[in-house]
Amino acid sequence: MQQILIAQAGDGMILARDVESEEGRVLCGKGTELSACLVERLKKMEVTHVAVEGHPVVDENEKTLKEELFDIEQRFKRVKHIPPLVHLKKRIMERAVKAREE
Amino acid sequence: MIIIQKKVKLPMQRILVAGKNIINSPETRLLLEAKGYQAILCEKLQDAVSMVLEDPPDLLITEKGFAGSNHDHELIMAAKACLQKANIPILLVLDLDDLKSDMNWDYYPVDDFIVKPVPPETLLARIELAESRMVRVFDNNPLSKLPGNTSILRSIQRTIDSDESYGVCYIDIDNFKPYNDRYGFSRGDEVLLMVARITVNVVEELARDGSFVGHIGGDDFVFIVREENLKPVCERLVENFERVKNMFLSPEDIKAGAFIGEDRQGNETRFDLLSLSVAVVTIGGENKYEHFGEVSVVASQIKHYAKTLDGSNYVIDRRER
Amino acid sequence: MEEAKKEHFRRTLRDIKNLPTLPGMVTKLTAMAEDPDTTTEQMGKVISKDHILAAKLLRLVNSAFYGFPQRISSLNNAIILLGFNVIKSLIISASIFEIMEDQDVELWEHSLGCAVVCSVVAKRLGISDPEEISTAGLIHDIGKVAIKMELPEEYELINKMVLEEKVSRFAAERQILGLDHAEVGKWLAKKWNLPNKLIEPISCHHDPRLAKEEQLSSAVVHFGNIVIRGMGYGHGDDKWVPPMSQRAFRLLEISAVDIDEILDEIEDKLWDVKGFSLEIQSEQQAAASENNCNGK
Repeated sequence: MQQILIAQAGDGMILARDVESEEGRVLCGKGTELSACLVERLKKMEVTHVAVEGHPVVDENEKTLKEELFDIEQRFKRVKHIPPLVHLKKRIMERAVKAREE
Repeated sequence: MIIIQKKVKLPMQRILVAGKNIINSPETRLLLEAKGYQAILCEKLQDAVSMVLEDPPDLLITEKGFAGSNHDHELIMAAKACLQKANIPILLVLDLDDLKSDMNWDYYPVDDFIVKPVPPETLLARIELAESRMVRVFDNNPLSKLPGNTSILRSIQRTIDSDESYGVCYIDIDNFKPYNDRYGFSRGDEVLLMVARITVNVVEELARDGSFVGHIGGDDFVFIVREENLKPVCERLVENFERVKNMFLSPEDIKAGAFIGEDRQGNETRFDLLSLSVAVVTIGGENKYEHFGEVSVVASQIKHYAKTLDGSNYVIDRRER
Repeated sequence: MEEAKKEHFRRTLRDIKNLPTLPGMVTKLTAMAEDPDTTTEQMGKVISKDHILAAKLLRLVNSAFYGFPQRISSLNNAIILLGFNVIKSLIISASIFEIMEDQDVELWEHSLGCAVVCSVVAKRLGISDPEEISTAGLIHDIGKVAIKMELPEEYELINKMVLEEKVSRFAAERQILGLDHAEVGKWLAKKWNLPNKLIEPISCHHDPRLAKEEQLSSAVVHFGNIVIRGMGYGHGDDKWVPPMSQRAFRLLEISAVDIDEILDEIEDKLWDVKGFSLEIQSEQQAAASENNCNGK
């Protein structure tokens, strides 16, 4: 699964999660195949990002999960003695993992 | 105390000259300087606009077609938007050919024009005339630089005489006197300026065509917009005032929701924080008036009612908002 | 830095009128300004995403000449007071980065990200004017831009030192310049007549204990800076998350559960920011290739 910007969404991609409006209404269900037309409509409804199946958008700068977790670890290296920041780090790492769950 | 009158050397009037073919020779420049005018030359739009924004000149002379496409117009608009030095005289330098094809003076809302090539004496004379005319024609409020009474009454009369429907709106700041007493006149002035600004900005953005904004004096302002724009303008004005007003109040007063002051008899009372009351008199259609005096009378009645309402409000004719 | 050099730097700094904006921003705003249907509100939304333009607007509205010096600390209010035409003029007069570097975009993203975190935290704290704090969060690193523009050689040395000696940027600045970007930011904010509500958070974002009247705001911006660095969004500094002041953290009264909820909200809002960043950068690439085609 990949979370991408609405600007990156295109024909043929399949939604991996429901797309919800700000109020929580489901605008587009999981499993829907996207078309250019549908993407435009979602843009008009101010949807900023969607989760799609597979990994259709290729970003050269994208890191592997392993690399990303390593980066986070490195970033927080100098504040290991500050408990709230350790907690923050843990949560950020957990989110990185969750974002890539299939 | 003896006051000694010193002969003060007046500061140079700064003229922004936008365009290459205006000051043609060093002699021209010297002539201007001898008469107290410092010419500052700008050839790029960006520089000229920067100057208008950050260090406004006393006068603007721009060449038509300066720096390409519509840049002359943009520069003129920037000068017009500069409220603090309202009504910077603007002169347009053009070719005779330009006059042969219809000049759109709404697109170029300048005060005078000069045809190229510009002889130095003509340039000087036009500059001096523009300055003296500014003083004669405008009865601007010295604080807000908005048009004053004469212009206001004239504008109201114009709307009465026209065929279309307008709203003449009187703004009054509630509890302004206690505010002044509490925060001082300097802060009071800031609030007046703030109201002037937000009024102009809202009217310009939502109802520019056929509009007018004036400052009667003190905390009394008037603006005129077409009837169809009344509601959106008043709503936005009140909304913006409410958003900005906290910047002019102390955190304690904001928290307390009121300030303790003295009423006109000197007794201690609780005053609500600043708010705006807008009284709107619609003109045209069923509401016929002959003279601006009548409008003022009706406005007073509406204003009286509006001020009894809590918070910021606008009241259109006698209808409740 | 010896006193004389420091004083010279301080004086030169006062002359900075034109900190450059991202070209993509200027392109987008110019297009918006020329579209007769654009509202002030729409322009405001876009400007609130740019730390340089925001600083310029604040400076303009707080200048003595406008009539309310040191009074306006929120960007939205600055926009209400300046009005569409003045904003349009500001955009016309905006200068752009001659050479756009990755670091500039990264700093922009970091500033924007920090503003987002500040907004989320300020709202949770129930602060009456959360927008003032997010404004401070947006422009907190303005000192860095100034150092880069005014002291390009020293700026390079600082970058080098951070890379090679693995010290924090803050430390490298103090070592090479004798001052840091927070201090420079403070000078600028004071010179620009900004209200104390903005000066203190800018000046104290690394060490909020220094804050006097604006302890809470400074704590929020301090925290915002740390969180957004922790999330790895944007850059403009060194690689490491800076230490957090215990006192500031206590002031914010944030629990572990709060952190989870805050992260949720931030992530959500960052998507909007990321989308915008993509838009701005592609506008810029489009403009750049157009320039190339025109043989610029």
